[in-house]
Amino acid sequence: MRTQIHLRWLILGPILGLTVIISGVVALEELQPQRAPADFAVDGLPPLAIDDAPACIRRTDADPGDLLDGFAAGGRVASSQITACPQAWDGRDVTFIGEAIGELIRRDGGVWVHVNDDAYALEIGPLTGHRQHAGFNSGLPVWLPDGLHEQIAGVGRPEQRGDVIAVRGVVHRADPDDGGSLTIRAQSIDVLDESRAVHTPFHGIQAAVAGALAVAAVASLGWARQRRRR
Amino acid sequence: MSTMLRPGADDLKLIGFYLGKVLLGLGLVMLVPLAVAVATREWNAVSEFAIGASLCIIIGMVSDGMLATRRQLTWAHGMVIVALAWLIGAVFAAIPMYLSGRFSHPLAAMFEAMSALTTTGMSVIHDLDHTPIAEDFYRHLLQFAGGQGIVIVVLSLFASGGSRVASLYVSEARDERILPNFIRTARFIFLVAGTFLVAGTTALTLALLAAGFTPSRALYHGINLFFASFDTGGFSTMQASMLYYHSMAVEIVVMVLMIAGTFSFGLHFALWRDDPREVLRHLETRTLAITSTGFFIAVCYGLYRAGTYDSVEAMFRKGLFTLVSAVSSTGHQVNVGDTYLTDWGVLAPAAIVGAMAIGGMASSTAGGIKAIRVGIAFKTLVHDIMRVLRPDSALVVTTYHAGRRRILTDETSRAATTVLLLFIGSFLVGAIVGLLYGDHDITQTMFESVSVGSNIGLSIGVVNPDMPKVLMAVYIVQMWLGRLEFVAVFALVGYVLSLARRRSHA
Repeated sequence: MRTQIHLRWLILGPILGLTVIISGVVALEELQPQRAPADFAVDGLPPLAIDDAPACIRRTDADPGDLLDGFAAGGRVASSQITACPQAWDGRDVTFIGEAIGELIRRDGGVWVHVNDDAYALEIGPLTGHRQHAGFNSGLPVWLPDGLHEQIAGVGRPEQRGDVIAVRGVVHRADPDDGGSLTIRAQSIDVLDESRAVHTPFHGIQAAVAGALAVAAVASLGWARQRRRR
Repeated sequence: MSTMLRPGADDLKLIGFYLGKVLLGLGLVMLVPLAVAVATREWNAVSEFAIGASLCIIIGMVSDGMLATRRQLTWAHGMVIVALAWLIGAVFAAIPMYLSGRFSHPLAAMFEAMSALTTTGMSVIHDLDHTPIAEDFYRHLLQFAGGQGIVIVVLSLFASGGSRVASLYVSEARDERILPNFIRTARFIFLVAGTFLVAGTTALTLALLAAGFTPSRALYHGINLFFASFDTGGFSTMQASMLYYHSMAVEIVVMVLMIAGTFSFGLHFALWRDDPREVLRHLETRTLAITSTGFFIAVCYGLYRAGTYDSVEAMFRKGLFTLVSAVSSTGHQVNVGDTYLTDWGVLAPAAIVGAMAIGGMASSTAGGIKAIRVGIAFKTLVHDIMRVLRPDSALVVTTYHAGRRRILTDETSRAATTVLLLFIGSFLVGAIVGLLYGDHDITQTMFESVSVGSNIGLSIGVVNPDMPKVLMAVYIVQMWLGRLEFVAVFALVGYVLSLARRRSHA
């Protein structure tokens, strides 16, 4: 009988413990202090030039160029529209708006910069201090020749939303100067919104729990050592 | 029936004792990003890692103090410990991830943790490009811990007795013993990993400096890229993956590291002993060389037919990198988002699926069915054909080279083809569950299922932060099964059933 009780606790104990830990972690995450995501919305953006961009999944029949008959040169386009049918956009003159992210990668004659046009870039700001999940980042690499990239003062990083720029340039489905990548080669840029620091609210409750658990961890080291000696 | 397993309290104590050791090791791993978070003054990340590490250490110490037993480790224990270690390890590894607030729900954080530990590299993180440095570093470090086999790493450090650890080593799908003693084998694995860590990170940092990065950013990207490449993980510091770097030099170094990660530690040992002939003669090397050449031709022909690239150089560069990324089960991408689907035609992605399914070599950090099994399955087929074609009285003997010359036995053939079939079954289940939601067609769900089940990480968009929870759970199981190559997980299921039967009989 005693063995049965022992066995039961060896099974139920870890399950109960794990449940308590997971519940505690979920509660802590929900207690994160928040800021208003709307602070980072970029105002006055022009609308996308077309609503229904073609999707070219395994398209082998129609001439993809015909798919964009209604698109006027220099119209605004989203990265998701271009990646949905790169062949249709090849050589098109477009306006692409997004956040300069990561770094300006310097090369002879200019820089490469990745430009994200997702919700974190244009609507809600970096996912720090708010709980509005908006999925993966999405964007395109942009080549900025000398004379253009100097306008960019800050790029997106942890705790920083980078400059939001409007790039006027040409889409290259397979850019020969970048090993065949899908790129935009800029002809002009405008900075629509300057880079801004993102304040991360300090999670005091989480810090307190961490401190208490750290003390318990140190104590458990001593306890286990003593028990082993015995 | 009398020979069936009847696990008792002592068995559970033994399992709990070793699981505690693994969690203790995981806790120590978390102290590294904690130090990074302190250095970068990311205070919320400091508390996330402090909580994760403390919980792991407390459980490790409590199990050490309360569950110590004189009972000897058996093969069954080894299998159960390893299967549970990867599952529970993923749960605890997910704690700092979930506290970061970058995951839709706890299951998504566990998906990310399992993906990291199994070196799959599929990600469901929101807003990766603004992720704090320490949190991003942690994702990559977990790939290193998982790739080197966290169970064997931890137990070779904390446990004594090579023969006892042997069962855990084999259970972790690393059945190639390089040195006579398993502890020494594990330490050789450390040596290889440590050497590549220094050389690979240096090479990547230099390549990134040449590519136009600042020194501090080059080092940061270099370390993370090393973890993701050598351990064939495939996570990236930026959502754009390899496309972000615009550098052929970086791509070449990454390809070398991916290939090094694909090699079994046995072949690393042969190279270490200056015995390149062993590498050339090995069945796995030959199988990979033949299949990869075939897939590369198919990829190039597919890209040519799709008209994706204007130049041969671009076609070779993109095609070769993606193929190496698939064969090595790394999953680094050189294309934007879903353009594998929208701009690569049909044949090239199909060839990539084939390469992903085969994967790399056994006893390496790579995933997939493994070249040795494909080679043995092919040899078995040839053997059976020869037996049919020759007179009944003729003795047909088939041999292959794997460390030494070996005779192909029925047992070897059966073991290889069984696991091969289990992998195919796993791919089909994942693809069918993906189809149930009606958002994707069979080619898309099959691509993703093979990528997940083979621990690859290439994606055409089925895996995303908002994917259905049931599909996410299925993919977690696929990653777990793929990493442990089924046997340890089946042993765990058998163990749980035995336990339930014992309790119902009591």
